[in-house]
Amino acid sequence: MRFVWISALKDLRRLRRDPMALAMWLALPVFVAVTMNFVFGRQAAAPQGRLLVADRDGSFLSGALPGMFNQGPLSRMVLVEKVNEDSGRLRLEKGDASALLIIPKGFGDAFLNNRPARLELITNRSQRILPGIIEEALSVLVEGSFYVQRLIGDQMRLVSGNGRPSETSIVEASVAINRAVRSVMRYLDPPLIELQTSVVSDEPKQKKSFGALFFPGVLFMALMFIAAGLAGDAWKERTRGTLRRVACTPSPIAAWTAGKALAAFTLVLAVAVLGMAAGGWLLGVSLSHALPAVLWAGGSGALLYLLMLFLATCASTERMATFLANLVLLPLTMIGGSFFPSEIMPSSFAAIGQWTPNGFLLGRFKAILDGGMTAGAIAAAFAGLALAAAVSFWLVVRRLRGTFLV
Amino acid sequence: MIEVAELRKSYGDLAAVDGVSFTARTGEIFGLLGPNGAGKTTTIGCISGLLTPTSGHLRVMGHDVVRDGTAARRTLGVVPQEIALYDELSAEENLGYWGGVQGMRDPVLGRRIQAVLELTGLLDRAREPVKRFSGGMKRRLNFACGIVHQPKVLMLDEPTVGVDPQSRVRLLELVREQAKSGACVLYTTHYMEEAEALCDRLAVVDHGKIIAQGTLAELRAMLAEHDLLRLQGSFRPEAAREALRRIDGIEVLQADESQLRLSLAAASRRLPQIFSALAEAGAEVRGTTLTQPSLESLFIKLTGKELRE
Repeated sequence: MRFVWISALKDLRRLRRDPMALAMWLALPVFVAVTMNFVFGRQAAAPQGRLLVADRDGSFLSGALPGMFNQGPLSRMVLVEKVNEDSGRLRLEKGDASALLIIPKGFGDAFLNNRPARLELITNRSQRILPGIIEEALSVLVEGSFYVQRLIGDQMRLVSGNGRPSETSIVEASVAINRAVRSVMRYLDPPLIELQTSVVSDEPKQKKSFGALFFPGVLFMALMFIAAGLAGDAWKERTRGTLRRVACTPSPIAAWTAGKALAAFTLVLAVAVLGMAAGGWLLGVSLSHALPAVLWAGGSGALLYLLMLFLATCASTERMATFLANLVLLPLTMIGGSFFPSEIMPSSFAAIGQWTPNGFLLGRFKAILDGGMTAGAIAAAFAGLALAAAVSFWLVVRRLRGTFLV
Repeated sequence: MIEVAELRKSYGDLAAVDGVSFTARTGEIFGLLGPNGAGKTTTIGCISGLLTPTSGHLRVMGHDVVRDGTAARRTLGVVPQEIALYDELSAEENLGYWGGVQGMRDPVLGRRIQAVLELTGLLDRAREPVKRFSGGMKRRLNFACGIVHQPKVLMLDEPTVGVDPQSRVRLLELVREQAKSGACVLYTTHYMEEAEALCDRLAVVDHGKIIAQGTLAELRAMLAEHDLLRLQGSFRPEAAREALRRIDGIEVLQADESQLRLSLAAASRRLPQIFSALAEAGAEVRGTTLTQPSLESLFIKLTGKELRE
């Protein structure tokens, strides 16, 4: 046990003397985190799209149509901007908007006179969610407009006819609209559909900010890079001859490996603690379950280190080890939910990602952090983590005692 | 004490060590001399427990290396060929680590670190990262890490490779001091002069086998005070051999179209006779090198080639 500690201390000292290595491992995750914070800050994760409107009609009604998007919650999701058709198409091609709505000439007349009119909506194909929201909202508007036309179409025709309407016409139209609205009000207010509500949780789920959504993935990205970087050190020790020198001492190779894993655990734990503190402070990450989450991150880091170490010891040369590490690192980071949270990934990718080692560990981390796991489930998860680490450790020691040593 | 009996280590069909036997005693420096690839490092690897022998018996201070490896390694100090140090750590920290893995603890370890730093002349640089050290200083520290725990058996695998002459002299002094203090020292080298200057007894190794073994005097006696004469020029090997056969006491060790190697007593006095015989055989001699009896000439006599070839 003493040798495990001596070995871990040696590696931690070496890391302290080479802060550039740690900085390089953390550079990309920190960059992603800072960018997320800079772009989104603590805002709620509400996406905002831009709808360009090209109005060929120029009527009162065509002018009123885009205004519908400025009502209620839709106004927080969609920014409406009037443009001419050519510049609208150009901006859409550049990806500068989520959709372009073209209102045809004669739209107002067609609406008032109950004739068919064709609204053209061109969506940005590089976006998935926002154009869909705009399309849905527009179809609801069109459907709503149909009923409005049926209900008060005559009165609208009266006030928007040619020339300035007389005061009598306005009063007649107003009275007629009022009567029509009153007649349907008993169906609309209160609604005939009764809604029953019940409280499902004492603590209502808080909406996560974008930064908080990205935070667990970014933290695990850092763990992956640290694990890969530390695993590469086994080859350094082999090349320098320090590993063979250790093998000539009474201290077992297993203790040397355990020391390295302990150093990895300590480093990852420190990074997780700092990361959590920064996440709480800058991104509004909930820290109510920080302790088990940090311990889980530390354990995950140690397991990922052992897996990467096993991979490194399977390589025939140091260069091959680096190649193998790079080969698995980026794809696993991508699909395991570190670059893009699984919540915004296509479901098929997210389903695959959750079965990658880092994706699985990240999923549990999120559940622990969100308080979505019972104490029993957390204990079982830690037991599984310890078992996986033990198996990985055994595999690594086998490789080290075998051909890797000589 | 190191006892090696019929040691064999094979990699498939290749026998890296083939039936090596020797005994290195307490308080002596035993040299393993041979060219690169002769099997010296493999032999040390087997003794230190790094490699598992294919067959044979190995004992270190009475402990069987294969069956009781941990006990055997507890008595061992190894100075490997490569500089097996942590560049980022200081000399003191390196020594602390290597002493620690040998089971040493403070305050004994602390005192011992100071002692070996003084011994190797590194005391004033103790807290400096090793990466700032010169090659010679690193070699001395590499040695210090092998002796920090005062091993009863010290194995050094070509410890002076790439070392400047000053550091080499200092290192050899340190090795002698270890033997004087009662350690059994096993020293491998391919430098003849180093082996001659340092070792009490020697085993000459080639192609995984010991081809000669004994004290320096015993090995020199094998040459029977014969000089080694090397002639360079252009020769017809068979004609040259035939011509030299007619002169008494000359042994042709090697003959090819560009050089001849001869072993003979009092070679300087017999040069005219040799030149004359070779001239008659149509040879043209352009250069002559005469070497007094040495391990180099013994090696050439035994293997027909130079140690560094």
